[in-house]
Amino acid sequence: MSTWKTVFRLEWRILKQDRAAMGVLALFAGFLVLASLAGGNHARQMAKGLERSETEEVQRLTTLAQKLAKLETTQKPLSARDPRNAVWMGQEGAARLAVLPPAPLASVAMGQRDFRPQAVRVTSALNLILERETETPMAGPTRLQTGAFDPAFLFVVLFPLVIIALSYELLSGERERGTLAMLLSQPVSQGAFVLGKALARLTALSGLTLVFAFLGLLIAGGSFFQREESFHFLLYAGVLVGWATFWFATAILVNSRGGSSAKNALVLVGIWLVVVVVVPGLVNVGVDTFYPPPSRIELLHEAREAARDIQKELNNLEGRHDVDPKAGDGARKIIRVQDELVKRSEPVLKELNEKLQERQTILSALRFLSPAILVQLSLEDVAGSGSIRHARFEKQADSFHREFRAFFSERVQSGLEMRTKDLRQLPSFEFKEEPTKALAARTAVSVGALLLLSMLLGLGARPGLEKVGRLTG
Amino acid sequence: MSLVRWVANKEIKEIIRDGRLRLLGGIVVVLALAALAFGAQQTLEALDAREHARKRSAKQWENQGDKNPHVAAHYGTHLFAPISAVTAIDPGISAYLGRSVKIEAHKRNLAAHSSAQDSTSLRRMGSFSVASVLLQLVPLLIIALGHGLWSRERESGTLRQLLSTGADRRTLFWGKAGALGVVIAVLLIPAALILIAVLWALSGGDSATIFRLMLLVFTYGIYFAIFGGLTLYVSAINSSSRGALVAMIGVWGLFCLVAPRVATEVASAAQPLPSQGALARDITQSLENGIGGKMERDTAVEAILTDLMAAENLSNTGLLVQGSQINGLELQAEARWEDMIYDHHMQALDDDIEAQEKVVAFIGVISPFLAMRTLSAGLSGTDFSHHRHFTDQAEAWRKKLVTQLNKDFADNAGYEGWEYRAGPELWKKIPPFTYEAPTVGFALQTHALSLGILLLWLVAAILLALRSAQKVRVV
Repeated sequence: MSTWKTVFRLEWRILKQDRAAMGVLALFAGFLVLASLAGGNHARQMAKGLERSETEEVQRLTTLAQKLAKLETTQKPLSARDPRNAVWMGQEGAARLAVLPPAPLASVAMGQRDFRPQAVRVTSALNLILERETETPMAGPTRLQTGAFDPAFLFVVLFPLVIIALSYELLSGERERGTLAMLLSQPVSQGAFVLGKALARLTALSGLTLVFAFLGLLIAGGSFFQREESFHFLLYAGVLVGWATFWFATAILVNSRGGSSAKNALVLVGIWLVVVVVVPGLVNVGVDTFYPPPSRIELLHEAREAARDIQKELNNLEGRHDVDPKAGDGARKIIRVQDELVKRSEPVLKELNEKLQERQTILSALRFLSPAILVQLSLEDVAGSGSIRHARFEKQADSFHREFRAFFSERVQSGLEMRTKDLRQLPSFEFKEEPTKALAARTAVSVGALLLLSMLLGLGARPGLEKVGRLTG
Repeated sequence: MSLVRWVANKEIKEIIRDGRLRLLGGIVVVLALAALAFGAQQTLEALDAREHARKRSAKQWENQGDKNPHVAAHYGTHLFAPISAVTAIDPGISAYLGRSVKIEAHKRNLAAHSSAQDSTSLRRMGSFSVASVLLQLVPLLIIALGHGLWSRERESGTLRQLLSTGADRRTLFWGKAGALGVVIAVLLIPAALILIAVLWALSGGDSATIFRLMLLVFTYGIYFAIFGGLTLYVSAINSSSRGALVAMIGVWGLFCLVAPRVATEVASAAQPLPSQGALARDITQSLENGIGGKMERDTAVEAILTDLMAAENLSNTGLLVQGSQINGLELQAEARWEDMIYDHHMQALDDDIEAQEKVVAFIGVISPFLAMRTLSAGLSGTDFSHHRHFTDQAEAWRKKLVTQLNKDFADNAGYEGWEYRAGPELWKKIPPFTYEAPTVGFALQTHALSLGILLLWLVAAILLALRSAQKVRVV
């Protein structure tokens, strides 16, 4: 233990003197601050946008309630945008927002946030293939293709390169500088020496990374006074330390093979390329080839054809400008026809959901093929921007849409006008988060897999480290 | 044999002798071919799916039964974005753009159903295409092959010997640069030939595709030369091969990993886009009160209707005009008003997206990767400008369709009014949508900035490499 401590202290002193290593660390810390700012900015913009939409909703409903209270006492005929008109209220006036609230560490990973809706405007309109009108800002196509400059990108993609820069010459550097012979003349084994060096660098890097990750979250506007937020940060830290350990273990294995520093750097960059770029690309190709996403346009056609007669009836009602689709018999007929259309398109929707679910299950199983996939998905999960949370939101929003539609459908069918008390009973949406335990269990599996892999790599390096080869470059 | 050739031969032999580099080169070529196979398969599937959807849409339109022409306009149809064979090489941003447009009366819809819509998180993590191999992996291969061209010579002491024979540094430089170029060409030319053959088969060998392909080969050549020049420069100025390798990997990371994300962040901040909800609300507002609240809908539609009636010589005919004729003209007047509002908002949205694209292209000044990626997507027809070209034509067709249907209503409904029904003969009379793809000149014009930036990078890289060769340290 004391030998390790000595090596550890020595290495720490060397690291502090190493201007190149410090430069790399400073550059990474700088990037991390920038990424945190960008991630925080996204999260804030998103939160502000949602807040604006929610304020607009409250104001709109308050105004409608006041108008309704006045109109209830009069016998005025229905006008175009009349709050007593249940059709107009369901389609537009009383539209409600279903909001997915930002998670505590939202700034860590953009994840699926720019692809999937964060807030859905729920009306009584039809939704045949889960196309939702979203209240979150659109992202340009190049931005969608490239992805965000967020801490998750830095950690998954650049962090391993920083570790490679700090570890590719753990052993080979000593040999090439001619210091290995002198070091091994001390009462320390080659294995303990390399492990001590790696541990010193891992501890320094992990400490620094966690401090900057924490500062980054503060810069991004996070607060850690609540238990839930602190717990999410712990999960985040666990993933980062597991990921760093994996890369140091890989560097130890490569160094144990006795190659030159240039060769080690090349091999490590090659491994990085395979783990971070090639395997995720191939997994993506595999999933898309063998489990292609369902074609929404084909499903739309199917829904149209399954309900051709009903669709025709609906078009005849909606397309005629001499029939008022928002009042009286016309409105009642439209609601009845729409209800039938929804019923007929249900099998198509079910098929779409099943196919999407199947893809997600496959991806979940394939994440173990590359530690980078594991880390990316875990960071998204911890940041509340992963597919599990989004699927949960969309399912809840979908059932809220059904509830909202039924609320107005009932009133239109029975020919009742909206009253103030109806407005008070208007269904509202509140997202139900999954229990923290479930998230913790998923993260623990990922961190456990990373540590297990690191241990196996360490064991693989043992024979090479026990054998003392050339002492000079 | 000239001295340049002699140096090049020697370098080529050294590169070939190194088993690791043979392996690396092999891996890159295999990956490029695998990406091509995947790209070709995806393109074929997409072409097939598009054709199927197009036929299905046309069938639904023709078999919609008897109905009022305006009701048919409400029923509508779908148009599908074209798929170029070159997509097999570079899908660009096409996966993130809607592939179909719903055509209907009263509104211009955004293109929807992008293929990335239901994709997993991995799509952005590891996009796998010929373009991604050429843009990211080939530069890494160039770095692996070239980082030691000067520094290794210096480390082993052969540089001093070479220069003592009176060899000119400039000659040595061209020999080394030539060797790097020949090795990369030998690795990539067979792959390029396979690629051309596959695309020829996909597109039926049309000249436009071949021309675009030739330009892609030319511009990627420039891109690789930039990385070659920079690698030689870093190799010359670094004291060790190890240092040169680490520095060049750092440069690669900045160019290919960091700069693209930073560029798109800057572009999004410089030109934010609205939400779909906000856009829909703005359009509704404008439809009611005009753009900027300057004219109410009823007044505007009335004015358009008056013009239309004057054009049809119906202004002073009073009760002699049939109600359905007025209905038809009213629908046309409404459509014109709506078209004007939609055009305004959609053009503003497209302009905002194009402004974002321009910011990204401009940031190519700090990363040749960005300039090449933009140019590559442009030449492959998978960029935003090509998409906009399609959606504009789709919108022009929508307007013609709605006008034709409303005109039929006005001309033929007579006393039947809204009870009037047209049948398949009218639906079949509508001319099908035929998309006229832009020429390669359109792509070059749109991306002239990126091409210019790439050429500037080439000049800078050659100058840096030449200058550093003149001053390369012997020990």
